[in-house]
Amino acid sequence: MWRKILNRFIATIIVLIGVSVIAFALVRLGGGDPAALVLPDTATEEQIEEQRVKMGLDKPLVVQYVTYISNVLHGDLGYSYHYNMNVSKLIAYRLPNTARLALFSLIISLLWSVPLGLIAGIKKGTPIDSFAMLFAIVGQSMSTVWLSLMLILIFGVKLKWLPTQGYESFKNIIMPGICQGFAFSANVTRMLRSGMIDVLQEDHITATRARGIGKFKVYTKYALKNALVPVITIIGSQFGFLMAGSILIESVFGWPGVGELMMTAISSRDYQLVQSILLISAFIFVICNLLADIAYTLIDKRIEFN
Amino acid sequence: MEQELLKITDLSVEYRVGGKVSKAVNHLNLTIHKGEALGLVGESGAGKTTTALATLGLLPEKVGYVTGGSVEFHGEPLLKKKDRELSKIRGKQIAMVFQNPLTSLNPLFTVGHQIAMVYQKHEKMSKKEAMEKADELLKMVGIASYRHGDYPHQFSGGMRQRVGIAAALACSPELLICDEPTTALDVTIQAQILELMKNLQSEYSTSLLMITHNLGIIAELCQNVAIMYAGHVVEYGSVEEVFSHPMHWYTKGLLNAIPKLTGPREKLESIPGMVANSQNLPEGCKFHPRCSHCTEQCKEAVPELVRINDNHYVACYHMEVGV
Repeated sequence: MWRKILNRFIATIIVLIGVSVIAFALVRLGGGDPAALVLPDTATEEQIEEQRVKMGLDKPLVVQYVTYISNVLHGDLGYSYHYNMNVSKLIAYRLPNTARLALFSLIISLLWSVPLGLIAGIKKGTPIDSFAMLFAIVGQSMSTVWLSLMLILIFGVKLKWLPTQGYESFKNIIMPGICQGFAFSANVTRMLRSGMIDVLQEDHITATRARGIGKFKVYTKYALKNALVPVITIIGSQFGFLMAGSILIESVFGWPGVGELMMTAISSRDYQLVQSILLISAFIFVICNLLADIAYTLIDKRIEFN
Repeated sequence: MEQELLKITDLSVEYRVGGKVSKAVNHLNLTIHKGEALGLVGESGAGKTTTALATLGLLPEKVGYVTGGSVEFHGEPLLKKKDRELSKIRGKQIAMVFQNPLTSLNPLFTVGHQIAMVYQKHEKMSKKEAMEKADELLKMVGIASYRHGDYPHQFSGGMRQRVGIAAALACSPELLICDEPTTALDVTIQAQILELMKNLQSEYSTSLLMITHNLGIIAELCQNVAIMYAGHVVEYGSVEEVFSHPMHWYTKGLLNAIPKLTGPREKLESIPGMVANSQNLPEGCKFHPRCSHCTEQCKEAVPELVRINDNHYVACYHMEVGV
């Protein structure tokens, strides 16, 4: 087990090297001169050239990449010329916000979708099942932008129940949290429903009932555990995905997280900031998936960890 | 006559799937006395398992329906009981061993847990006490108790069936329903399991309803046998009587279909035709389309179970002694 986890860790490092190369190349393919963007519009050619040298942009790409990577390995994620701040500091300030939103979004999605999928699977063919399926289809096909704007319109503008911008109070987190998790909870509902329908036809469920275990316990313990196994995988990737920060949701709701930071970084050609955010996000994403895989093998001992 | 333990009277069960109705059990009568081992024999699809599931109230929801008759346990009607009341009987007074040991254990729970859950439910034991009792049971069925923390996939088929039997015997039930407990196992393992069941049955004086299509098992384990065809008992009696003097043509066909180990190789006997289609049962005697002695009477009326002697009942218009 530990050996396998170590192997996965090595694979993770290879993935991260790949990500760093791609991130490095992508921001440079994007065009635009970061040195010019840092300086005021009135700057002369010489001043811009001077700035380029200062930012190390005059050196060959390979040298730039190696310098960047060796800095990262020494714990230095680079310097943001747009914010005039260390990238590590910026990310350290933004990441908890994104984590808070991600965690809230994940919990609220699961609190809603797990019971719904469970009941829909048990009560197959009843109105509550039809409702769950409708939710699953609508949730997976609805545009997040549209949903965000509709929620803002209804709960923010018309009813004035919830603030539409900012992150200070608990009320702020509700709308972005729901929007971020909507498609995910639809997906969980659908998976859990079909998982329950499948497992409830299994002999071992009848056998457990034949031992006198009550319906409720059979559903919520012995059947649910089976139906949850595939859901755990998508919880892992969803959380990893959320931790990268949603550019869209964070921008719409003015949530100062990693996604919103990324948005600003790209538009201001803040090379090192973009690279480091991509790198950190990829790292978190891979770790979340790794944790999900470990959890998965702990729950279902038949599955070999690999 | 000894005390009646389980009495099934005129039981009918239907499966309704997508507008189609399958009549799985039709006016079935069956009685099991205290300490008796009764064999229930019939081809696949004769309604044996359905009878067992209906008794326990475990027919698949919104698919299986009891359409008539009654099931009494100790004189108490079971079919009218609520699920909550039935769950106090299931596993404690009536337990069941399932056909396929590979699918009848939950893959995500340890075997110890799956036995211990019976004690936790019925004896209100703590987890620890229940586990200790589960260890004893594992030992009794021939599995080392240190393996209680293992998962079903770490066991062979025969060992899994032992676990299933252990879980069924946990509370020393008065009635043990075994639904083809050895069908999915190797012959040598079959013998071990049968030996185990035989010993346990005599030790606990448990009544046994042995569902099988293996006549050898019946001869080995049971005192009485009921031959079932299309959800209906066609012949009933003591094992000795029925097997040595079969009178229903279906029973004779079944007995003839057993391959002989010695003698010249002849063409294997089989009963012509297919098992009755429960979605479209024939009128009259359900066996008549396959019967070589069928007459007009058989096509029109259902023969009643007629008493031949105290140990033998047959439902056939043209019964005849001998194979």
